[in-house]
Amino acid sequence: MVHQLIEVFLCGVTIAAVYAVAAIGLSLLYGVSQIFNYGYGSLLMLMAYFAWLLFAKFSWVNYGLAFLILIPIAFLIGLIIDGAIARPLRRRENWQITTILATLGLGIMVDGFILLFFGPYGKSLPELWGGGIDIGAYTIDGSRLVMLLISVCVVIVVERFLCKSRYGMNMRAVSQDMVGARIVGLRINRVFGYTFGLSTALAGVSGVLLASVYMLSPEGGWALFIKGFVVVALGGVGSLRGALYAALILGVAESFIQWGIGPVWVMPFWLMILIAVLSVRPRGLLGIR
Amino acid sequence: MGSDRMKTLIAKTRVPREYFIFLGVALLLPVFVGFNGHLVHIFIMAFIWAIVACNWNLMMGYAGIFSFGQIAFFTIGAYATGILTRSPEAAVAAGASTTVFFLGMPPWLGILAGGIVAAAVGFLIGLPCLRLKGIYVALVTFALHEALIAFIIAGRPIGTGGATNLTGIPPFSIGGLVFPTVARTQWYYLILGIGFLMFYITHRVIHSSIGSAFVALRDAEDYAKSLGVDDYKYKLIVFTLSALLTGIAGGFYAHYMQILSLRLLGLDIFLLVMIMVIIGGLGRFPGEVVAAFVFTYLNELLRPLDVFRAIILGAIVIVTIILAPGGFAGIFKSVASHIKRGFAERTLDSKQ
Repeated sequence: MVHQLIEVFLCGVTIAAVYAVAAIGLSLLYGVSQIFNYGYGSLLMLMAYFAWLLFAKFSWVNYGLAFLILIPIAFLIGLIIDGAIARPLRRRENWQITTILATLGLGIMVDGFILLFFGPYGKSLPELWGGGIDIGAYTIDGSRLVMLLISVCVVIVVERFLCKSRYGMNMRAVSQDMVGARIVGLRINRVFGYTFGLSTALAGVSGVLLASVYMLSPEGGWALFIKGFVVVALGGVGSLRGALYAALILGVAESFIQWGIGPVWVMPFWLMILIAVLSVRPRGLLGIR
Repeated sequence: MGSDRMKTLIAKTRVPREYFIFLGVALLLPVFVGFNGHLVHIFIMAFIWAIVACNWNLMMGYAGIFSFGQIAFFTIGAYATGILTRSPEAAVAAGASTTVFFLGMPPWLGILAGGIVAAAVGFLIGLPCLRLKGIYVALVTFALHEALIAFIIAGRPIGTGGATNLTGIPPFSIGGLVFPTVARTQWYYLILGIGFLMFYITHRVIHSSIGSAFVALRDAEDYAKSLGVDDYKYKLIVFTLSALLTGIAGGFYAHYMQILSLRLLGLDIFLLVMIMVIIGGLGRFPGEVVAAFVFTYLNELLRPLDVFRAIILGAIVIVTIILAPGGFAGIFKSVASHIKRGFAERTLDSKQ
């Protein structure tokens, strides 16, 4: 029994780590440019499908190469979306709402393209790592361990990037004071573009990682998007550390709910946790805005 | 003094002439498209979606509540009506293990009760949720939509039909007059009446003190609040009212289709109605009513295109938002003002 509980808990922690990566992508974008990308889940799915395509077409591809190829592609897609959709809308009134609606339209389109090129049937990626590690009496599943490691690394890299690098500091400056950042000569539009690119790249990483565990399906991105959304809201919009804690709470909760009463109950319970936390802390756990 | 107030009251509640034109066209429509034809079915659905879109716009465009729970309220109303009006025998045959909820209510009462259930859920969700900032509201209501799927699947013992369909809903009937699904013309005029009643209610709400409160909050939030306009109270009223009316629309849908499935909560319908609201123009009633007709019809037209349908609908959303932020209503307005300006210039020219 104890053995099983520990296993469920570890399962929750690994899935939480991937949710954290997905949520940080959403949260970062909102924190810097105040855009909520409703096409996020679809883009995440699209990148996972690209990964599937790489694995299916070339036998020599492994996960390391896939990430190397896909992250720049995702970044570029993000840049293009920002330039084509978000930038023209930013000058208008009500731009926050119109951008949300436009990205929703983008999500529908991406779903359609996935259905068109990859068909309606579920696809799956190979395992991250077949083996396992024995620690005393327990065996930890190798794939999950690698997933956890990659996610933690990504979160640390993003955190360092935001704190230390020039571009990261530009992003934080814009997120704290847009007008001030513009006055001291930051090119706001360029920062927005990079942020969108980074956000899409994070979507890509989490998408590929999740696809190594779950099946891919054309509309599957929406469920993941809503999950990322709940994580962001619980943690506090715009707060990376909040997203991390929230992902941990919700991921472990999900794992136990799935094990105890079945997967359909995950969303209702998440909703209850969310409403409970928001009625005590209206800005989420560590929210700023 | 008294007559002044009377005049403003009349000005506020007067129904614009366009409504009557639209009503006239709608009344004559079956004559042109053929009674009981497939097109009549499409227009019945258009009226139902128009009611939902109207209430969504009331919430999102006027009250500024960024709610994504409209289809959830619609589904709650539909399922509640379906369960309450079904006879116990039919329910047990469909796999329900308890018959407490099968009251075999007359349909009109069941529809009202369904609306009240939806309103109650709306009230309970709105109570904690409407104090939050906009994006959080969007999120909680979107999560409600997702969570509802779980409740319906798990609700098989109380007769939701679980993952399969809810069947055995009796046809709508009132005062001995029965409306079976096949009697499309009959249904068309029923839904037309209900629809215009709903549009009138929306019109009245927009032009009531609640509507003015929202305009005040939208245009000068701090000033309105300093004058004592309680946005939370008004938002809760509109949220509940909108859930009630949407739930009632769901009830009519349930009796028209006589079968309900989880497809209602699929992405398809959600996006379609959302598109109607956006393209119709946020906060520009009755643009979304026109959009409901255009898009229900367009959706049928695009059905043979299968995969491309989603892509085309998505592209329409993006292009409209970037090129015509005001939606249909905005386009009409700018075209009208162009024509007016054209006339004005011409009259100026002739005078010179």
